[in-house]
Amino acid sequence: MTNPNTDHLHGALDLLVLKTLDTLGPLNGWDIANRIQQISEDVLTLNQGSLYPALQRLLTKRWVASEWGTSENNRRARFYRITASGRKQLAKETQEWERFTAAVVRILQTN
Amino acid sequence: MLREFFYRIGALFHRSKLDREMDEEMQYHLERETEENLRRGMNPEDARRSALRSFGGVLKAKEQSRDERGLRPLEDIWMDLRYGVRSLRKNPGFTLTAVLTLALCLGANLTIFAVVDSILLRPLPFPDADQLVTVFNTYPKAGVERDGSSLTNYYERRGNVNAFSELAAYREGTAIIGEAGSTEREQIMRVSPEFFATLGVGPATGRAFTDEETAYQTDGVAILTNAYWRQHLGADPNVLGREIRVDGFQKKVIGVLPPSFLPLLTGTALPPPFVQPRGSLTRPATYGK
Repeated sequence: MTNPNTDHLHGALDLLVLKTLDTLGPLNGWDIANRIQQISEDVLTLNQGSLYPALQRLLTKRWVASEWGTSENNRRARFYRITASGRKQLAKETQEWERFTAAVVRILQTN
Repeated sequence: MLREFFYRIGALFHRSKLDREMDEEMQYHLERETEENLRRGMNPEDARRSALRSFGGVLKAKEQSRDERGLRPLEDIWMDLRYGVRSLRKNPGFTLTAVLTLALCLGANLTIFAVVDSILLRPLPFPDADQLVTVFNTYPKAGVERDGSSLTNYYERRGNVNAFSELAAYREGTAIIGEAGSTEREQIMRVSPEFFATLGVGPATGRAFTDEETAYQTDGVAILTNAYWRQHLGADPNVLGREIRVDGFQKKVIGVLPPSFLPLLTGTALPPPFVQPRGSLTRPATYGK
């Protein structure tokens, strides 16, 4: 995840963000970065800065919405939540991702 | 797709607000990460540095976010425009010269086109306009290609050239029109009685000239162009029979031309062409058809 500059990795990061928001509800950017790292057991070490272009991309596509609120340490922070069309996109991309990984696994398992 | 487009358009108009929010958001992120590092036991300096390191380039992240946000090409055009306006404002002399040059060129273009349009592109406003010709005298040995014809020429051609179904003579000039004290110089045309029949368009009201009105004693009549009738006589509906003074002579108005008639003419149209005693019509002389 250190160089999310190809389309494919864009897609992967988008997918992870959508999934995180879908599971955990509204979160701010810092939370999202940490959850992804945490849940992946530090396998996916996010270059945290690259999260923000991804969030902006999802905002532009209206897959997430954002509003300003108060963080758990009582400061103004921006919270993101997934939208209905974001959920649709999540379902679609999850399916594609599974097909893709299954195909890669099949190829790796051939002798 | 459409909603995304609207979002991008909207982002164009809220750029500074969105930039501010982005700054604040990333600032929050770095502070939060620093706090977390402090909690893990780092000293303040390391905590800050480590937060920056795991964030990656802040400027790069901002730049990429902007790219995702709006209509980059439009934003670039907008920036270019603003830059252009600023540089123009810095060089008023150059700006003035450039603007004046452009204005002059546009004006000249417009004028030329208007003339070309009315002379070359539009057909003459007469029926069978493609059959109308202007007849000139030429004197090759004297090197004169086009000259007017004399009255004798005109009558000769009228009687003897079968190629023309109709022939008329005219002469352009100017005359002083109006009573003493309120006169104006107007363009006029002196024409032979067949003039209107030759062109195929006559006065909209009133009548054309007759042969009797070509004599010196009986030529006290005039036909007005539509523009002159409107501008100087208030489009008087009872204009027929009114007297106007042309070069000091009383003339009775016997007709008014339709608005479409020869837009090049502004003044009256007068009979007969033959006010000059020697009959030397010097200007292009004869319309044939």
